[in-house]
Amino acid sequence: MDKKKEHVYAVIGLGNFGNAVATLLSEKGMEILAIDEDENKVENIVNKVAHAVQMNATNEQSLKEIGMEDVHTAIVSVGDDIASSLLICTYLKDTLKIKHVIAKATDQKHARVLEKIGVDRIIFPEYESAKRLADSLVSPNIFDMIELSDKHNIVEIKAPSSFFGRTLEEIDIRKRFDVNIIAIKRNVPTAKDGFMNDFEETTIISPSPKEQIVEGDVLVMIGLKEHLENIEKI
Amino acid sequence: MQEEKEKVLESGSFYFLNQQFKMAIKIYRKGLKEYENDADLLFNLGIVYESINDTEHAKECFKKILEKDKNHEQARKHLEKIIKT
Repeated sequence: MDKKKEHVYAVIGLGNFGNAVATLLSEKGMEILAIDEDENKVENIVNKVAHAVQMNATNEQSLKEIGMEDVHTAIVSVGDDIASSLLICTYLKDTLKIKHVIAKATDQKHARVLEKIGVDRIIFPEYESAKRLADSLVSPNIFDMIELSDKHNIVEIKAPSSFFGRTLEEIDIRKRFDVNIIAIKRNVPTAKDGFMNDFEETTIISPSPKEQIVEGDVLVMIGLKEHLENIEKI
Repeated sequence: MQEEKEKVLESGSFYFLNQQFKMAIKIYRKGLKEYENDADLLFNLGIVYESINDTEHAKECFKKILEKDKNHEQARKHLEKIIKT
């Protein structure tokens, strides 16, 4: 497998979402080919990515001519223009044989057609952000949540005050709640000259049973959803 | 006067570094009664709150600093970080 290609991404459609994805990937050292037909949107990103091209990506011939053969992953985020999104994804999968195509869907119908075309991953950024916000409002002690399956989650939860000063062994979370703590996120206090406070964000992976919980710790836990909900209620 | 404030900062940092957050908060709050809206005390207090994920109180502290000094870069940096989380 050509390792170099895995670092080459195309982002087609440079609205707020496309621009952010392209910029963040570029900051992580990936080689980005950013495409949009709007000159201003291309101008906005030209200094942040390796290549920025102004073109209509629904033109199959143009796509062939700009070096898409080096692209390992393509991200299609052409806003609400469903017809363009479907056409571009078809070219990427069928003609250009892009290994991994990710497309932003506007609704379930759009998603179903994208799936039939063979798009590898379909995302609903607005729905996902809305769900995250709703979850954080309903459960303010939950910092983040990843759905592993229908039954299992990974959650980041603020350590309850009843855990402060106790070791994991003493809390015995596995026995009491049937969930596992896989990491602890902790802000470690530091101070600069002149007694100005600061802190370092650290993550303790697979913490030892002797690890003591301190105020402010965020526990990263894995388990059945119903068991994790019991901890939220503490 | 300045020496007294230094003592408050030193004492608050001592408790903060020893993860005795409630004591650190108590000391900075007491100091702020004497030195109202002092940026150094508010900043240290904000950092204690932020470090224990009490973001609402941390935001209040950083906002108060910026009301008086909108060029306080560190307060702005921490406030933006909290808001964007």
